[in-house]
Amino acid sequence: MHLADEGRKTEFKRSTIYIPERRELAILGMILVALCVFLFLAISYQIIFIGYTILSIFIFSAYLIMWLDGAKEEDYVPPPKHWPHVTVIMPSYNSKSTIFDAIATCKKMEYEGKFDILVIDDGSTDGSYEMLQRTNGISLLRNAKNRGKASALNYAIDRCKGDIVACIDSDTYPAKDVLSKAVRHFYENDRVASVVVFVCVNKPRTLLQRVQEIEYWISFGFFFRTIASIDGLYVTPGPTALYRKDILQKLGGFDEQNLTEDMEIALRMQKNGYKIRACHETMVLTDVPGSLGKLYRQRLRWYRGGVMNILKYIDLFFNPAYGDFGLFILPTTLGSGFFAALFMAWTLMSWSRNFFDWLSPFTYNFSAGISATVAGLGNGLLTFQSAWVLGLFSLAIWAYFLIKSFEIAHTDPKPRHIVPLICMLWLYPFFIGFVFMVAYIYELSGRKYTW
Amino acid sequence: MASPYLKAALLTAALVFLGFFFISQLDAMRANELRANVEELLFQSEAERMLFTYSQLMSNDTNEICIYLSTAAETKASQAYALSEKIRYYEQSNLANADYERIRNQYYLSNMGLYLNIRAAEKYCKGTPYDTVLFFYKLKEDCPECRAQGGVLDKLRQARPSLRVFAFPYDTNLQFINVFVKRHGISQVPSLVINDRDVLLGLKNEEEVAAHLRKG
Repeated sequence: MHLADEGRKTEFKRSTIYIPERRELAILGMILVALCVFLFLAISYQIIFIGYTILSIFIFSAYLIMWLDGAKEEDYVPPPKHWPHVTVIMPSYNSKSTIFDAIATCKKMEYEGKFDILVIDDGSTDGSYEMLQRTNGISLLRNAKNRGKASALNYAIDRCKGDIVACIDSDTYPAKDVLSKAVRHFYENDRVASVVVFVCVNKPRTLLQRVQEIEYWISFGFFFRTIASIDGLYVTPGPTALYRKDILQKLGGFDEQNLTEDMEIALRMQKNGYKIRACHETMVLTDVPGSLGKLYRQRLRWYRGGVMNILKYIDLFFNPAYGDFGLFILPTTLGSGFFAALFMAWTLMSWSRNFFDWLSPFTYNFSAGISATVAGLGNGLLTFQSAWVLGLFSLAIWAYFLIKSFEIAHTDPKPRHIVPLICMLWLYPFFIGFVFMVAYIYELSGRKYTW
Repeated sequence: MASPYLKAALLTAALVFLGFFFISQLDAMRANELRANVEELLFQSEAERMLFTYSQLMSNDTNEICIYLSTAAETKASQAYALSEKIRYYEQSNLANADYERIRNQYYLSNMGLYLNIRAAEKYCKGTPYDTVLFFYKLKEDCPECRAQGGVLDKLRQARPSLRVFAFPYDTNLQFINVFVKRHGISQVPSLVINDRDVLLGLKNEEEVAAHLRKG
């Protein structure tokens, strides 16, 4: 997923090239944004807060009901009569430090049928290609020039032996039974085109990684399982996803112009009526960014890709033809980023207004200003707004999701989870909202992306 | 099987209903707390005034009332200003109850009563041990300088137990406040009137205010 962090200079085409015929839609969108900004500014904080909270209670309740209706118990999936040949495709770009561990972990996988490992080097310059040439037990392909992950995957898919391809990132370490457990899901229904595996964080060290660990449990654990139960998955996460090769080829492979090709392929599958299943009986571990700067770059790419794909597949949104997926899942997952961005912009605006309010007394009297600021902040923090009672309900439902996520990850909540959890509740949303805001601004203004 | 969205909507409705029930309880609790505090102040200013009326109507000795004033004012009036902040924050947090205007007006009334009693004591008891500050601020719009001025007064009050601060909004149509706005020619906020004599317009720091107070 973050296979290549530095050094890439591939320029991606602007998302707007996909929608020249949708200029009216873009204008409508701008009017909508302007209207939202106006509402944010004109209506009191309390009204917005209450509206936002009631909406979130509704969305959370719906996920809760879906969980209780269908996702709570994982069905036993019987093994297939004939185990298909699986090719593990591992794209690599300057991944010297992780890929050999990843290959070694893949080799240890136990699978009833045949499987082979195909590494596709995407024009690495760190000497990893030469080292890979000396590695036993893998097939090796090479793109002479760095052309991006999607391009590397397409190249490898056309040349692999397997009927099922398991795309595994070069910084991802699958559990032994990943293939054996995940492949079964293809035989539940002949429309199943892809199976995603529960992605968890590998060896979290920094606080930021611990926050992401919990975030992955909730989103790839609880939410993916719930969403998969109504066939609504909108992304086949890059770290590990299995695809049926024939369907992938029929659909034309990965989109090489897309920032998040893993989301694009999932949306294309949904649009063409294919199913995506989730496998939570096993898991893969993946390395996640340890510093805020790296996380910012990773998330900016994800969220810009998200915006790009929203624009590309806007016709799926609120489209009854796509059932739960179009009416509920897309608006509440991909669409919610839009509200996160808007909410963040509004928060920043009100902060700046307050900030100047607090600042102005300083110009008259320094000591007076500071005592008033402290008093004001103190009072603001201690005063419990009545409307927050509603927020407690949505927090309570979310807490239930959290507990279930821990169960899915087979982890007991421990004291060491407290600090990351607090950060996740209070600080992380600001960061995420900020990145969403930047992503929307960049993508809608057509700023070019290089990575 | 009913649609999950219908179930979710029902659950949401139930939670929101429950939420608003809690909110109304919480708001009522807070409003009652304020009402009790304001009533206490009102009781005190009324009690003082009764004594004045008694001494004027039925006895020529103002000594009793002077002794009462110098001791009783000590106990209650010190919370008069702190309560204004509490009202402000509770009102900001309030969602369901709408009678904060009434609570505020009664609070101003009690404050004005206490202030006038101190003025009366000055007149009838040959002076008062208290320094008084009338503090005018803006109620209807946010006024950061007023907050800053409030901070200055808070600090002064901690250092000088004999200081009594009475805060009133400048932008109100209550007659008993407007007579003072006119009397002292208050044209901007924040403004201070010290001991019914010195008018300070605009934000002032501790030294500037202290210069107009009695030594000590």
